[in-house]
Amino acid sequence: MPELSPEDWSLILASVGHSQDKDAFAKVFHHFGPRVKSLMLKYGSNNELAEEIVQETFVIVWRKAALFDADKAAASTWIFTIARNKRIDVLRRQNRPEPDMNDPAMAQDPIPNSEEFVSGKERALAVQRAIAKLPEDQREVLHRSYFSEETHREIAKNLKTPLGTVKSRLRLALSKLRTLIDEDIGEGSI
Amino acid sequence: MTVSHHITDDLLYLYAAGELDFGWSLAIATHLAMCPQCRHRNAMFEDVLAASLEDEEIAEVHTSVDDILGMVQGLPSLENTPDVEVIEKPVFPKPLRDVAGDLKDIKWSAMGGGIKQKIIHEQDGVISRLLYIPANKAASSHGHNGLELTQVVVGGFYDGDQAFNCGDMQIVGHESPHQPLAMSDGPCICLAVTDAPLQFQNLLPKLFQRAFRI
Ligand SMILES: [Zn+2]
Repeated sequence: MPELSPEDWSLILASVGHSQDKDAFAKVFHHFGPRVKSLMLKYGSNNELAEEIVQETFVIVWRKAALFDADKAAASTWIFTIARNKRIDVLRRQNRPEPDMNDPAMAQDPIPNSEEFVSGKERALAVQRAIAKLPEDQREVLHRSYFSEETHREIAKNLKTPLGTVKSRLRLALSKLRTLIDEDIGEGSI
Repeated sequence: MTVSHHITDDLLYLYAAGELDFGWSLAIATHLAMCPQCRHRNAMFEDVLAASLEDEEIAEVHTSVDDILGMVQGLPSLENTPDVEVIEKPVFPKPLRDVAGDLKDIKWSAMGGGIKQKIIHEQDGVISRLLYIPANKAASSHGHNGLELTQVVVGGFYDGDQAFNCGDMQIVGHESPHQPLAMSDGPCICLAVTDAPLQFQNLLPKLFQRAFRI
């Protein structure tokens, strides 16, 4: 299969939603399943648990696919959030407290101004471009820092980072990322 | 309502990664419900975390797509349905209502001087409580040895020369005793989340300890 772009994946995932397309679902599963599993292993799950989280994640992907909105989120982000919540559910038998978009008590988003408004899709693409430009060690901090005690010890060992400085490295990496995104899609957009 | 005291990047990033214990997550989710700005930042952090799915690394999955399709057979699609008709707009945001009920349901315990509290959740030493401080009253001064997240859900308070209005989050580390004084225009209700005292000197190792206790 030729390399597909993040936008292609969003379209494929969207078609799982509108037309219960099993072939499209198979594509999504074959691409993201092994990636979700790899991430869960990095987060410190053992093989069996990682497999269980993959299964439960894709059961939800199928059942919620009609709610996926390709303008609002990247396919990868949408799948990531489902896997993250499943992990909490599987490990701690607990729901993760989250704001609910249908909550009448929720403070509303400002009306998007057509000039400055950045959609979730554009934002995710800008984030991906910015991450690609980050120095390797900062990318490591963003993607591997917080996942498990083992990983954390590993980071302290591999990156020679004493525990207490991880926080400042994280802040540094995020501020560098923000600068890159500002340069890309305009200051204050994110 | 303009929120001016926000969640710090490091806490919000840990929340986005799903690494914080329930109490901390509850305070952050409540803030997010009240603060579009932090919601936006949270969404960006989710993009950052999700980008690691696009890394080259993949692991072998033993489940087949037919296994998954077998598991979903007969299960209904999940729709995003709003709560059954809300007659009165709730005071507390949903994440807090899910744990405590709404303001009218709270069975407060009096602490003297009109100040009331209600512990709504406790797990692994992380305690979530609601605090009710009448207008112009100050809660007793307290220091603590861990972290305290105080999310204003009704009214506002002053602490020293800083004002915390509805929607604001105050983040206090172990080093600073503080004394919230409710503003004059009405009572102040906060969700305060603290951890058990005396275990660690630093805020961060404590957080990590919490985050990794799985
Ligand atoms: Zn905020």
